[in-house]
Amino acid sequence: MLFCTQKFLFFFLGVFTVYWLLPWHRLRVWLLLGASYYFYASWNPLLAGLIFLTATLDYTIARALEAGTSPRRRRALLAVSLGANVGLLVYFKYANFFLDSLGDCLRSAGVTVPLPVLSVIVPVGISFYTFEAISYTVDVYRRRIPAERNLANFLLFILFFPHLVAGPIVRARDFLPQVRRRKHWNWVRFALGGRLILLGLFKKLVIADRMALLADPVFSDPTAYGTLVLWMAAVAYAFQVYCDFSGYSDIALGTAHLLGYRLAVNFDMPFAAANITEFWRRWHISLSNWIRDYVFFPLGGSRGSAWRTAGNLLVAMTLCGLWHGAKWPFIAWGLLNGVYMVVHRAFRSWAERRPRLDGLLQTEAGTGLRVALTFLTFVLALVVFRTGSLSEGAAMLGAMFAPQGGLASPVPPLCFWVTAVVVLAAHLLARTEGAWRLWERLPSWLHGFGLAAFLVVTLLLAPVTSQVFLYFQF
Amino acid sequence: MTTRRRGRRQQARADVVWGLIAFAALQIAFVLAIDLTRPGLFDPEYGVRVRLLRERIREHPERPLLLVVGSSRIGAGFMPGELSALRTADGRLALPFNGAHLGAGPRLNRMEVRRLLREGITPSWLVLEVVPGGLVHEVSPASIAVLGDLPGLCRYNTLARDLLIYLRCRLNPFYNHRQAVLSLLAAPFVTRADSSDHVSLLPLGDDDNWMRREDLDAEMLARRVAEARGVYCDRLRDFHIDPELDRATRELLRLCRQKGIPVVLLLTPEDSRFRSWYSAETEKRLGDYLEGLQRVYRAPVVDARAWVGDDGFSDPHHLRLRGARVFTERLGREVLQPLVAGAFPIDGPDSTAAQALHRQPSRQRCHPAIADHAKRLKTAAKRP
Repeated sequence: MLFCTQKFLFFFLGVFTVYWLLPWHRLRVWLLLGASYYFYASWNPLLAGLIFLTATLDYTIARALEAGTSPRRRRALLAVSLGANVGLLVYFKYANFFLDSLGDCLRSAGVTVPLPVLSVIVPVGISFYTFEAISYTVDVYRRRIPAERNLANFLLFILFFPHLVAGPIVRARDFLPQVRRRKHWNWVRFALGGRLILLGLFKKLVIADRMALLADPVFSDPTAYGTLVLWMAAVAYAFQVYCDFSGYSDIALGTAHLLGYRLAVNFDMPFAAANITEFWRRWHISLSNWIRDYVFFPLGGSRGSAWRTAGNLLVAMTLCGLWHGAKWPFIAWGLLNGVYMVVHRAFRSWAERRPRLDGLLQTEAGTGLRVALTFLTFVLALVVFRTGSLSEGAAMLGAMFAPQGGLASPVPPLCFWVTAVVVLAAHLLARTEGAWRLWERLPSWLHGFGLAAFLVVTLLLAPVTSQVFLYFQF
Repeated sequence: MTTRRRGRRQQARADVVWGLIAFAALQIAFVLAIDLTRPGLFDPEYGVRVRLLRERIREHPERPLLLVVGSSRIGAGFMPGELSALRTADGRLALPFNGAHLGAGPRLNRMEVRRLLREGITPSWLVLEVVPGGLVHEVSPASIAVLGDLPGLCRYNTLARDLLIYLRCRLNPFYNHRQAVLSLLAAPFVTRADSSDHVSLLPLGDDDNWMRREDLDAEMLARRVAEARGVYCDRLRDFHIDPELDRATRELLRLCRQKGIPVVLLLTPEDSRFRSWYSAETEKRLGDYLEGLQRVYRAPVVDARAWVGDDGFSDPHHLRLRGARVFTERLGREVLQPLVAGAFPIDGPDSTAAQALHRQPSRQRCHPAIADHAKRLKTAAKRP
């Protein structure tokens, strides 16, 4: 059930209406739980049952972790929980990849061993809810949060439908207190939720799906197109990924607000980042924070030597790439971003020792240059991410830098340029505080007409065929 | 602090309420504007045809218009471009135009002719296709109707259902008709991932999609035969004319008489398999009905059902290119040329021959084709 479909609209309207008509808080929790189960079961009822079971296991282990005093027993319990979660993730998502890679290695060593190919369906959103469950048991193990006593509350934390299939990756310490709190109707929240949903729909339908019309055909056969079109497609894919995923996150946040819940913000104008480290603080924030808290810091973070920090960054970002999927291009993309961050750290410490250069880089022009460079490096890394194999990625990057002729753009170039201007203008506008203040001063009727006009534009510009949210595959 | 919070809540509530009002108002304004100015947006096929028709009229303003209306059968089968020049009695060339519409029956035909008249396009002659199965049932045209069509629709018993369909199709018009709106306002942003909005017609209005396909394989043909059988077989075995559709047909004929537009009723070609689905009783009822229309509205009937051999069909009742050529040529020679020349036995305002026919008994006014039809009826009636 996609967020931008009529089916979801009717589903959500039903849940929303019954939810606010119910006078009992506990009943509302059960309603959301039932609705979330139905939401997931609409893809695959068996896999919905599997999440239910693993979540119940995590709940039980967390209770035991809290009650336990023996460090050895607690470690064993944590290992069971991590083993179950990571084991399922590996089985469903990575097993065939590892088997394939092992087969390739053996073949290259001259050994031919018939390895099995597992016939599995990857559960939608498994990477998201597995990371949520892991963060919960680890936090309980570290005694940073108490174990949840109510199973329904805990299940809702994992299964809450707005964030279930594509995040944001919520933390128990943020979400569970909200489940316990009785909700009251709030017009401010309702208006905010509506605006976020509207913004998400615009990003998804108008920008992401339209940019897919340019990116998809070009990436499927990059050798057939000219250099300029390849660059346009690479930038279009960057816009598509950003608007698709942040659009989903906005709709998730908006629907959660309409039900009285607040989810973590997942994107903060990443294309306005002036360096790659800042970029990752603005892009998929919930995943970046998770990797920082549960991988980078436990590895030692940046407390050790420069080499150790670089190593930690590379490990963390490679894992980030692997999280996206069981393919070498994803791993290479993560590693490449790790290299970017290492290079950026080295350059920053080098530039800090040169005050004149540092001052230049901090000027408006310098910042603009850094923003452009950050965007360019991200786009180039995405080419590797998007192509089917490392060799295809390398071929496309080569064609982007060695001018070649070829087919024209599959969509009118005007569409691309207008979209690029809209994304740029939105980033600039979001940085301008005056624009927001001006908006708040406008009378309500103008707000209403502005939002209605925005919705009309969104509906008008939605392409004929809508794409599945990209991050569902992760 | 409390006052400020209350103020924010009030503002948020007002924003939401105004947003809903504005969205509803924009939808209503949009629907009204489109309904009143561009009916072709909600009915792309009509929109394309009327644009082509205007272009042809602009090119040849001196030519009187010969309009052929009906269903996809006539849309695929009648090729005005293939006709020899049609000359009126005073030597002027006529402008033949295929004004068919997919799925058209009596109500949609009537709606389309009324629309053209409202837009200031008055044909000099009208050939109205009669699909016998279409007299039994017709899908409501309310889904493609515009505001101006509603008074016509409102005169039928299906008013509530039609209004409901009309309103349902007006819900969320920005999304449902976005491709058509964008093609008007911002053509580069049109994305044609499916062909539903794409109407491909030739300059004189005949349909480019149906009959130009000569590559029908056996499987596709079998599917089309099964579809036609499913839709028409029962209707033709147990033939009962829907009173609403009868009324629509009569209203269109009455309207044409009021406007002084001579009308010919045309039964379009069907292959032998399709024709075998008619029962003797159906043939009799159909014959009586058409004869009644001919008598009351002075609209002669041309039965062209057997004009084309079975190899001229792409399915039991749609012609392929070869069949369309045969049908068009004969229609032009036997019906259209005599019609525009005033030599066809019809009761038009300027036709002295027709005035003479007024005084004759109705049976004698029959076109040879309907006489054949009556002969066949008699034979059928003699069968045990």
